[in-house]
Amino acid sequence: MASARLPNLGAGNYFGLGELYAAWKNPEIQEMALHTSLSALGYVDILRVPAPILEEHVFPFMETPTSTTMEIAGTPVADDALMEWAVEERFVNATRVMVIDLDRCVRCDDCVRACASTHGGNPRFRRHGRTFDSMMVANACMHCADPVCMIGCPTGAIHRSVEHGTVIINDITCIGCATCANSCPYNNISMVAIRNPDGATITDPDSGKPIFKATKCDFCDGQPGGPACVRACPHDALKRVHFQELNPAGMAT
Amino acid sequence: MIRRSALPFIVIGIATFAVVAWYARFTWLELGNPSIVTGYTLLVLMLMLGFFNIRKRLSMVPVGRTSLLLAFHVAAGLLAIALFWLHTGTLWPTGSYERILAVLFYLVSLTGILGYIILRSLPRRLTQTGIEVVYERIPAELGEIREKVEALTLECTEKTGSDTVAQHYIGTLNWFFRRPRFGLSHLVGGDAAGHWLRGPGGAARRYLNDVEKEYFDQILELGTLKILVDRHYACQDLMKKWLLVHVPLSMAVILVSIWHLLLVNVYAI
Amino acid sequence: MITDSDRFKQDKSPYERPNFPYRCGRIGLWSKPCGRGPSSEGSCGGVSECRPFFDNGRWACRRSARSGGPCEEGPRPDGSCCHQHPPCKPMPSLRGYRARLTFLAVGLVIAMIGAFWFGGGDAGAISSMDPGALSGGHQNFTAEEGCATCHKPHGGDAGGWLQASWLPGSLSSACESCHAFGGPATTPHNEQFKTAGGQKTTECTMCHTEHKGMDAKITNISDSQCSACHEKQFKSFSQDHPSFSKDFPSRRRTAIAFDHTSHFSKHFEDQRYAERAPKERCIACHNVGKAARNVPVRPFEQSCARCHEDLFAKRELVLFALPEFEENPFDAVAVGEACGPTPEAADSTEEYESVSTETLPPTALLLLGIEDGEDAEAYSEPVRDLIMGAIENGHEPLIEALDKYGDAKTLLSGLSPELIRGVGCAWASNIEYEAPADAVSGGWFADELSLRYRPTRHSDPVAKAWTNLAAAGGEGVTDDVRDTLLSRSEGPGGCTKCHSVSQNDSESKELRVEWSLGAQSKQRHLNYSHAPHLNLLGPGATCETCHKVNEKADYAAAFKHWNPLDFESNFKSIENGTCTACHAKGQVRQECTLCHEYHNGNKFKRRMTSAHAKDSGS
Repeated sequence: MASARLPNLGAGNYFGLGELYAAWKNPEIQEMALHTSLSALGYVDILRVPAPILEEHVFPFMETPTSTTMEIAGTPVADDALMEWAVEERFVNATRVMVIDLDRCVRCDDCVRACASTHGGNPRFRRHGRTFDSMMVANACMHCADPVCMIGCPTGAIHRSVEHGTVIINDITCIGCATCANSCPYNNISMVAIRNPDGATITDPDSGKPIFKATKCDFCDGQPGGPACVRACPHDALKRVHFQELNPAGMAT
Repeated sequence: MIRRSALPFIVIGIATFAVVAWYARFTWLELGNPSIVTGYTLLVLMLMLGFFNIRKRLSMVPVGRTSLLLAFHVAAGLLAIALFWLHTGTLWPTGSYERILAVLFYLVSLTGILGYIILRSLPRRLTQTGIEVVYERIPAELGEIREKVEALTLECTEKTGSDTVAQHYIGTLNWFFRRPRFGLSHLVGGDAAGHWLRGPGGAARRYLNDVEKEYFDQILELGTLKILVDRHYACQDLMKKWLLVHVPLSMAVILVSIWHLLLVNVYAI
Repeated sequence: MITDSDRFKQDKSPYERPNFPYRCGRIGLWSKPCGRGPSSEGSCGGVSECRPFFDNGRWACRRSARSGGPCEEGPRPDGSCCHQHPPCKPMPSLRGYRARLTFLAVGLVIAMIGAFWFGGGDAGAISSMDPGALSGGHQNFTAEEGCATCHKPHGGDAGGWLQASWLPGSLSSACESCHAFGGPATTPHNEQFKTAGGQKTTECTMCHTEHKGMDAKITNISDSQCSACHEKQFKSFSQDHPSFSKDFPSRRRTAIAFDHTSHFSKHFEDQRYAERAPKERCIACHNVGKAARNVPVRPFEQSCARCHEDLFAKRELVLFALPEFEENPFDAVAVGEACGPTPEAADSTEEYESVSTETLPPTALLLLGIEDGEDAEAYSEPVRDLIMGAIENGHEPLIEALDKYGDAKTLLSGLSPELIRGVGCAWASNIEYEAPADAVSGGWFADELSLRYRPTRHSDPVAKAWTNLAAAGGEGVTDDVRDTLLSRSEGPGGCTKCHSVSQNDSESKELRVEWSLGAQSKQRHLNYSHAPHLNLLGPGATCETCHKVNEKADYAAAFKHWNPLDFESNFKSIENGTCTACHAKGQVRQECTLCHEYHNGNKFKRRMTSAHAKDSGS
C-alpha cells in the first residue's frame, strides 16, 4: 500500500477522528480501516482517552468530521522532499525559522546590517546555514517550540517572552557562560565579543578581557514593525516562518 | 523581470506620468512654461529616489518593508527617465551644463537599470553552484583552499620524492589558486575556468604515477570547488560594486540638478 | 570554511559584522584574515594573536577558540604575545569606498560649479557656461554685452545674482529693447481685449525659447495652442474652420469706385473702345509683379488713363464770383488810386447798376467768413474788403482767409497776383473782367465774373486740397460747401467720382477721401500673400479662380453714401472651400499661423544693421 506524509501536526490539529467516528456511526462494518498513523518527531505528551468515552460523550453531539484523505492526495511530492529534509535537520521545533530564498537573495547583507543596527552594532545571526534547493535556513534562532537552550542557564537570562512566546536573552544578566550556546542543537547561539555601536570592543574594566555574551535572534523584541531582517530585505527573499509553513508555496510572494 | 510587488508602483508611475504629461501639455497650450511643472516633479522624484539610500541608516524606524521601497525606487526611476525626456523635450540638450547633467542622469539611469538586471539574474546562477559563501569570507575560503592545495603538493613531494606535481603547481596552478580568476566568464555564465582546469590546469596528470595521480586528483577537486567560490566572488562582487557607480553618480545628479534649478531661476524665470 | 562539514557550528565560522567600516588587510591578498580583525579606527588589530592576561602572578594566553585556543608556547615573560605578525593595512569596506566615492562626487560637482562660476575671469564671470547656441537671428547681437544683454542679473554682484532666483524674470523687457509691437508686449496678441477679465500676462519666453541651437525654430506656435484660448474650437482648417466673413476678403468697399462688372461686361466689350480695352483682363491693371498681400493696381496713368484721361478738364472749381450789389460798395477814389483811372470811372455819377447778377458761390463764403450768400447787405462789405485787399496785397488776404481750413498755399497754388489784381480791379470798377485772349488750358483763370480753377491732370494738388478741405469739414465748412466740393457730378468734387469718401466715425463730421489704393482694412492678425499662389494653381487658373465676379451685385450703390462698411462687393465672397481645395491634410500646409499672425504690429525698434553699416561705411 502506498503511503504519503501528512502535513505535520501541531497543537489544535487532529487526525484519525474520521475513522473513529465512522466506526461508531456504522457498527455493522466490522473491520474499519485506519488510514493514517502518527510518528512523533519530538517530545510528545500523550493523554489517553478511551474510545468508549468519546463514543458516549462526544460523537453524539458533533457533526460528521471531514476526511483528510483527499488532502493528502493533493500534496505534491516535492513538498514531501522538503519536509523530509526539514525533519532530518530537526527543524520541526521551529516556530520562527529564518528562510532565505536564494534565487532572490542578492547577498547584500542588508538583513545582517539591519539586525546589527537594531541591536547596538552586534548582529544576532549569521547569514549562512543549511540549504535545500534554493532555500537556506539561516543560523538564526528559530524560537523552538521546546527550547533546550533554556535548560541550565545559571542566571535565568535566557527566557521566553510572555507576550510573544519568543526566546530571548536578557543581555544585562547574561554572564557569557556559553551554556545555552553549547546546548542549542542548531548552533544558533553564538558567543560574541560585544562591541559598542562604533565598533570598539567592550572589555572588562578590571581584567581587560573582552566581554562575551550569548547572542541570538530575539525576533526584534520590543521593535514595532516586526523583525528588522524581514523589513530590510529589498527583494522579499527573507522570511520568518513556522515549521509548517516551510514549503516553496509558503515562500512565494 | 519586474516583480509582482512592483506592479502597483509601476501602475502608479504610469498614472503619475500621464497626469504630469497632461498637466504639462495643458500648461504648454496655455502658453505657460511646462518645464516648471515637469522640472519640480522631477526634482521631488529624484529626492525620493535618493531617500532609498538613506533609509538603510534608519532601519530601526518602521518605514515599511524595504522590498516595497525598492519596488517604488524601480518604478520611480523609470518614471524619472520618462519625466526627464518630457522635461528636456530632447535626448541631448544644447547647453554644456545641461549636457553634463544629461550625461550624469543617463549614467545613473543606465547603471540603475543594469544593476536591477544584475540583481535579478545573478542570484539564480549562485544558487546553481550548489554552495553558499558569504562575500566577506571568500578571501579566507580561497586562502584555505590554497593552503590545502599547497599542503597536498608538499605531501605528494615528500611521499613520492618526485617534484612533478610541485613543479606543475609552481608553474601553472599557483596562478589559478592565487586569487579569483575568470571573473568575466563567470559573470556571463561561461565555463572558461572549468576548461582551463581540465586543459592547462590538468595537463600534468598524464606524466604522473599512480600515487601522484591520487594527490593530483584531490588538488583538481579543490580546483573545482575553487571555481564555484570564484563564481560566487564574481557574481557577488558585481552585485555589490555596481552601487559604487550608481550611488556617487546619483548624488552628483541631485547636486547638479539643484544648481540647475538655481541657474534656471536666475536666468530664465 | 566551506570544506568543513561542521562549519555551521557556532564557534567554527567567523562572525561577520557587515556594518563594520574596515576589513582585514589580508583579504586584499586573498588569504585568511587574522582572528582579531582591524580596530574600529582602521588600524591593524592582529599584530599579536592575543593580549595575555596577568592572572594570579603569571601571564596566561587568551587566544580565542576560533584562532586555535591558547597556544602551546604561552606569553613571553614581559606579558606580550609570542605570536607577533607584521601589521596589515586594513581596507575600508565596500560601503566605505562607496561613501568616499560619494564625497568625491560631491567635491567634483562643487569644483565643476566653481569652475563654471569663476571660469570667465572677466565681468561676465559665468561666461564660460555655454547655455547652448542662440538661434540664427540672435547670433551676434550679444557681442557687446554678452549674457547681460538679456539676462540682467548676469555680471552683477553675487547678492543680486542670487536674489534674481526668486524675483520675477525680466526677460520680456529685455526683448523689448529691440522688438516692438502695436500693443503691450505682454498681453496675448499684443491686444487689449474687451472681454472682461481672464486675460493673462504672457512672457516672450513662453513661446520663444532660446539656446536651442542655431537652427532651432523659436517662432513656432501650434494649432492646439491657438485653440486652447480661442472660444471657437475646431480641428483643422480644412475640416471645420469657421466660414470666412461675408464678402471675404473685402471688409469694406474699395477705395476706388471701379465697377469690375460693368467694365468687363460692358465697357471693355464696347466696340468703340475696342482698341483701348485691355486684352489681359485683370493683370492689365493689377501688377502681379508686385503681388504681396494685395496685388497693387498700377498707377492711374498706366491703367485708367487709357480711357479716363480727359476726366479733369471739365471739373472747374469756382473759387469766387462777383455777386450782385444793390449799391456800389466800392469807393471809386480808392479804386482809382489802386487801379489807376478807368474809362468807367467817369460815369460814377450814373445810377449804380451792378454788373453782376450772380450769387456768391459756396466757396466764396469761406473766403468771406460769412454764412449767408443771399443777403446782399450782409455780404457787400466783406466782398468789398476782400476785393480791395486783393487789389492791394495780391492773394495775401485769400491765404489769410483760408488758412484755418488747411494748407492755404496749396489751396491757392499757382494763383498769380496779377490775375487777382486784374480781376479785382475790374470788379471793383463794376466791369466784367476781360481775360487775356490766349486760351486757358488749366490752372487758375478768371472769366467775366468769376475766379476759377481747372485741374490739369490726375492727382492735381489743388483739387485734392480743396476736396480734402471739404471732407475734413472743419468749422465754417457748410454743408453747401461740402455738397459743392464733394459733388460727384460737377466741379472739383469730381475726384470723388472715383475716390470714395468715407465716414469712418459716425459721431464725427469728418470724412476721408480714399486717395490711396490697397488694403484699407486693418486685419492685423491676418497674413496672406498672393505671390505664392500665382501660377501655382494649375493650368487654366487665373485670378478669377478665386475672385469670381459677382454680376448681380449692386456695386455702385455702395458709393452713394459715406459708410464704407455698407457695400456689396464686385466679387463673390471667397469661401473656405476655395482654400481647402489645396490647404488640407496631406496636401498643402494648413496650420493657423500660415494665415494668422500672432503678434500685432511686430517690428524692430532700431535698425539692426546700423552698427554694421557704420563699420563698413567709415
